Amino acid sequence: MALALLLVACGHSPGRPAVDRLVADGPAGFVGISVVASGGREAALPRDEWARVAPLLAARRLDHPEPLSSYGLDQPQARLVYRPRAGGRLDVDLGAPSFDGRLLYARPARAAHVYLLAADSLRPLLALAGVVLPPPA
Amino acid sequence: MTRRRPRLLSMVLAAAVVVAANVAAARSDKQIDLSANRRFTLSPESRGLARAVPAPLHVTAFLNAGGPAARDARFLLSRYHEVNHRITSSVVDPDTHPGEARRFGVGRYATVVLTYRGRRVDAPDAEELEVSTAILRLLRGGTKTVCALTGHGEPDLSDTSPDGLSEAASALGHNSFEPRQLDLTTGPSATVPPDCAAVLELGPRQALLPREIDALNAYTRAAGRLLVVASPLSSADPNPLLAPWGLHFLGGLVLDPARSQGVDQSDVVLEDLPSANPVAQAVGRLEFPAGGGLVVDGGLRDGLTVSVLARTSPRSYVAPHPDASIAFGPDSVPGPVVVAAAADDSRVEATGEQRVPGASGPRIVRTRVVVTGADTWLTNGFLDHLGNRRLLLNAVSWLALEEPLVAATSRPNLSRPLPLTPERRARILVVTVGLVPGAIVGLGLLVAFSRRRARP
Repeated sequence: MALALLLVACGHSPGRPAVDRLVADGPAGFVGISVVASGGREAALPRDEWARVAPLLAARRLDHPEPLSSYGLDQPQARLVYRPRAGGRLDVDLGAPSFDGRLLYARPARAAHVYLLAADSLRPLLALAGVVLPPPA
Repeated sequence: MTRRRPRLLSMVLAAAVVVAANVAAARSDKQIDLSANRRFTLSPESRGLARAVPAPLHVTAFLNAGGPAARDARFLLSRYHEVNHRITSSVVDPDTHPGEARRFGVGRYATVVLTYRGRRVDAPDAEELEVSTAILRLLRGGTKTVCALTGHGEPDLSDTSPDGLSEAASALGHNSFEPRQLDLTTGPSATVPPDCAAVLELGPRQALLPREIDALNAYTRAAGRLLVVASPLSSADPNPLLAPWGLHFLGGLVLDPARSQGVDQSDVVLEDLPSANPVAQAVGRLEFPAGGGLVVDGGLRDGLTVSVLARTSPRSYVAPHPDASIAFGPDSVPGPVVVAAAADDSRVEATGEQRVPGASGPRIVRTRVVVTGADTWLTNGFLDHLGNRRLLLNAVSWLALEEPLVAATSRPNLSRPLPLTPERRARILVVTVGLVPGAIVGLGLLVAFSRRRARP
């Protein structure tokens, strides 16, 4: 029985965190957050809206994604740009909506994974930069 | 030393038995289904249906690949393949493969697409009942035309706005029904075409003309099939179409303080579906915004069966003059209120049997009517709420005499949304704040009292 338990334990892979954080810090970690549309139009997010995207939580992570073009991430329709207090910059590309319109594909710059974010919380922020997300199906 | 040998021998023997048992098990396909309701074992009807598939049939289930539903779907669909290798299946994650989902026009998780000989039928779930019914529809072949009346302000079947009916049209199309508009308001004569498997009156705003009523009554009397989806908030009066079948609109607006969505008491959630009629099968719950009540009178004549498909809670009521007031008053009609019903009238006519060439004898004439006291539930904005889509497909299937498999393949869908109605909230409060803590305190007192009595 001990051997069986040991084998099960060896075969068990630790689960992923329940929620993936594309951006881990809360609003206090940044001096500025803005949305940049693909056409170049940039809109700084009001500070009271930062909590919607900081921390930026993913509804799902795709472990074996297709080519980025399947998700509209080869030519992202918008980008979230974070400016941390410590300096530098974090970019998160925003692609196409999911098949039912309830989620939005996203990918932090140079990241290997593709993530899905809740479209409802991003819709009003993207509208500031003139990006219109269609309502869910 | 002498004791060790028998022990060692026993251990070797036990290990040999375990290895032999595993080898034998690996070579065998026997399985025991210990799941709830034996949901992973096909019924005899499904097995027979699967065996009857003569050409390749593919089932594509659109599910989150990592979730339990996908695992269950793969397991269930492999059962069909075991019975007939022509039935193949795949599970596609619509989030990982959005292009595939778009290619199939899938807009909802758990959609199952079945394709066979260039035809397609969609099932709303990867459950045996849904998959087997879809296979049955594919095997029957062809599509049936359903004729939707126009000319009275009905929402358009191609309208994609929240008030339109494009989703309803699409759902019918995916299930081998071809919706076609039917205008009886113009032309030299008002006659329902013979190729209409059913006539649908979906959300009229104005009254039907007398010639239309005559034409539709003649149609239904001659074994017609009629779906009436209407609202009391319009000036349309479908009662002349329904009266011969023991049904009529009550008028007024239904309000349900105990079972409604949010703060709008007219956005009623229906959880009481008492009928065994196939129209209500596997529907679960419905959301009927801004609806009216129906009166059901099943005692008109022999052969007429009228079923209550859905009704509101006992705390509901009908406000007869909602423009003036929606509060419960002396002229309000207390619930429960019937908001959906079906009538099935079978009668024998002396002549007309045509199935036997050269013979003309008595024939059975069967009329079916389904009516709902609300029409908003059918629109794009509400069709995917709770069991609304299922109600539409069940109703049209029943009217077109394509009844889903019943009884042995009817297994409850174990994942159902649970609306938090005021009634349910009150129950939760009583149990969590009252009963459970009360029981714990009571048990503690009992134990303390027992110990005190046991002390010398």
